Amino acid sequence: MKRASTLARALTALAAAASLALAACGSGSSDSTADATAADKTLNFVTVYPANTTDAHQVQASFILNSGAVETLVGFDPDTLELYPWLAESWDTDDAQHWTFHLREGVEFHNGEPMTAEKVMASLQDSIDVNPGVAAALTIDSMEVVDEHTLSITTADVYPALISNLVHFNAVITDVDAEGDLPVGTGAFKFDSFDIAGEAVLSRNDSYWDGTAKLDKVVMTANEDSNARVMALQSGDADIIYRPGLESLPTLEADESLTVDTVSGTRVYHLLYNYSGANADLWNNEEFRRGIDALVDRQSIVDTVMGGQATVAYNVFPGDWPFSPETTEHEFGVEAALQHFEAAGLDVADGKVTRDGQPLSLKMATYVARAELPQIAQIVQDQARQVGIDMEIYVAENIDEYLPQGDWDLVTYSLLTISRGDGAFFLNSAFGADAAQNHGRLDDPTLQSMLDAFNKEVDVDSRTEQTREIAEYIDAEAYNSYITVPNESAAFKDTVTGWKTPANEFEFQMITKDLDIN
Amino acid sequence: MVALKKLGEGLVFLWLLTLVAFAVVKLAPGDVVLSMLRIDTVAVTNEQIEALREELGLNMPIWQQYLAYLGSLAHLDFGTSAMTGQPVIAEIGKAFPATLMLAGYALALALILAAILGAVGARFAGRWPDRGVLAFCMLGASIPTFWLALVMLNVFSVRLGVVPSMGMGDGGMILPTVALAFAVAPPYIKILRNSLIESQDLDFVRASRSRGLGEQVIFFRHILRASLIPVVTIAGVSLGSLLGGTVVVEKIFGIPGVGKLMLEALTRRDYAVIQAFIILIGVIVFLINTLVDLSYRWLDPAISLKGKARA
Repeated sequence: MKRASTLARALTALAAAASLALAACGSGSSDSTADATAADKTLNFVTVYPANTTDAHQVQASFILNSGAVETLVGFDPDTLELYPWLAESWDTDDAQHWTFHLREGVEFHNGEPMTAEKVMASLQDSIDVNPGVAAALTIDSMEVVDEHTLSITTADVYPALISNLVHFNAVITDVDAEGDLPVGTGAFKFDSFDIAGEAVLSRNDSYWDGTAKLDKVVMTANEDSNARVMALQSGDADIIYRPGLESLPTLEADESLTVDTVSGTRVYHLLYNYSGANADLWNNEEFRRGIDALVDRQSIVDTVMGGQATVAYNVFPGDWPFSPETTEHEFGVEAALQHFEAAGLDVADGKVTRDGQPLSLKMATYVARAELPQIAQIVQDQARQVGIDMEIYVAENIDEYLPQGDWDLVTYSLLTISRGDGAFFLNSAFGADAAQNHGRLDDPTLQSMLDAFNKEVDVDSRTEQTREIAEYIDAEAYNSYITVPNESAAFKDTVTGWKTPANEFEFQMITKDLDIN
Repeated sequence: MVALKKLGEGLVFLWLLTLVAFAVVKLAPGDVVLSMLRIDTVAVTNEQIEALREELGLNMPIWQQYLAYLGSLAHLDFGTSAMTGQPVIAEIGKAFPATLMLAGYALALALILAAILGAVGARFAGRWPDRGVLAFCMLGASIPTFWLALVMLNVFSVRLGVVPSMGMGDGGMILPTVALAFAVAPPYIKILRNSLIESQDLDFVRASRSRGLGEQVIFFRHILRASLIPVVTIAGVSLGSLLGGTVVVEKIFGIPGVGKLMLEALTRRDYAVIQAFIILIGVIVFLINTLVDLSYRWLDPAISLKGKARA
């Protein structure tokens, strides 16, 4: 009896301790969401990729630029895909190596500090120092403050692409001397709190140089799971979600309280050929490339794989942009393919292609990071089988590490082609002689000389013209097969106004002063 | 003598840890240089990639890289996070309190559960309360932590809305603590229950009773103390699973702890963070095991005496 009472007392004491422990678990810092929702006009936005740091110059994703808290010297118009003066009111250069930037006057950082040439120089220097990607993109050799609102920049070489690269989301202008961990920019919203694992709470910047934002607060989060983003919208937790899953679009469109907005993206899914691998002789044969291209059923890929949420592409800059070439449709079908294979010097008999009496066998790489690419590979594989070409599909874990090994013939690939208002990124990245993304190691002296001339061209109109000519040349030579441009979508409540769906997540603010909620 | 032996063991263990940390990272696929250069959005050449690789020392012979790594460790320099540019020690230092808090709460709750349910099981051995306790243990051991965490999230956050689904504020630690404790508690409960049952019939307990000592004194001074040895042992052994569990729980509940930091570092192949994590966890496990070892000497002085007799 005595033993039982001892146990009972021990149990009571432990139960009390358990309650205390659980109560202790409950204590913590105040919840910023609760504060935010108390404001009048608070908008909840869910994007895809979270920030991995609060440092705007090092962050891997474009979360901080998208938040509307920071700006760059040069902006990129989501409607026209053209560059425009943003924090820099204008710039001039005679040789595309020595630049003078005239900064906008009357701009203040969120901490009240004026945006001077000194501050801008410090910001650019910081982004170069901490981020080798920015250093490579800007190639700045030296900077000098001319006066309070004039900054002189000298690039290492003639570099007209500087203007375009100043749009990069890591080249945003912040006050690097500001105290604390929050990015201190010049945008229409300022960070109240920023938990990279949770949410960023932003409030209106009443001193914004370009007018006042309509919203009081914005709560921004990221979730890489598209279903979770859709559920957040459907449950009412989110007012806007970026990039809902393709499969959810019909459901969202059927909901009368929601709006789905879709625009053509700037990314192109394509087949990249290996011009220096085991079958280099085939891929350096234009007729063979045309034969493979004729096996690509672009419309079927758009209709089935992309669920209609994409457009057919034939060249590297599809669409109606200033540097887009005129669209020339490519022939499709087994007959057309066989004619090209025959012209390429291969044997064609009974609708099948052989080389030296042996069937053709090719290795097609793909990767799952973009779910549609393996499906596109299967469609191309099926089509190739009809002409007797066996395509072995290899799914690489990390495609950018696999491709340099060279053990492949073609790969389903994806790159931003229309990037930051200038073709420089894509053309140099994918076709430059030593370019990291020229995985097929294409070496065409004509194309290289066109690219060299383009890289030295200062005049914007001439650059546009040359970009178009290079794109036409790539199309004429049938270098790679450009297949489709996936759409970019956003879904939002009908109470939201002023939202503009960007063509990609890297180059635009998503939260703007024009956003409103009723 | 014991202290010197322990120190020697510790140094050998630490050296092995550095080898493991170095090897794991070298054998892992991935190229941090490509991420650092932002090849998705910046046109870079292979020459620039090679130059950065050279600058980071990634082209040096492997033994030189290892020696350089050891040299940095000797200065307590765990390197800089490739993705954030912050010293790794600062990154871990920022994340560690959240993990420590979560692991501490979960361990405390698990021990409390063990004490209550272990005592109930022992007191009613073979009867229905005991069977209930054993069933609870079986459930706890077999339900995956991530599943339990997701179910709790769905019920208490999404449907009932009584606790937040993410973060540490306003009761945010309750669900992660319970989820983790539920997974960790079963071995403690079972071992304490069995140990209590066995201890009640030990000679010295019966001798104590015959000498007329009070049940309270017998329970707390003899039975409980003797029963705690296996519990302390399992506490040391289960530390690995506790820290492993925090990774899953931190990820699901969005707690910015070391586990979440580690997952992000793995995803982004942030070598310095991964290496520091391996060393840190290894050292913690070693220290805990040493403490467990020392605690035996307090809980059961016979162990200490035996050691002296052998010496």
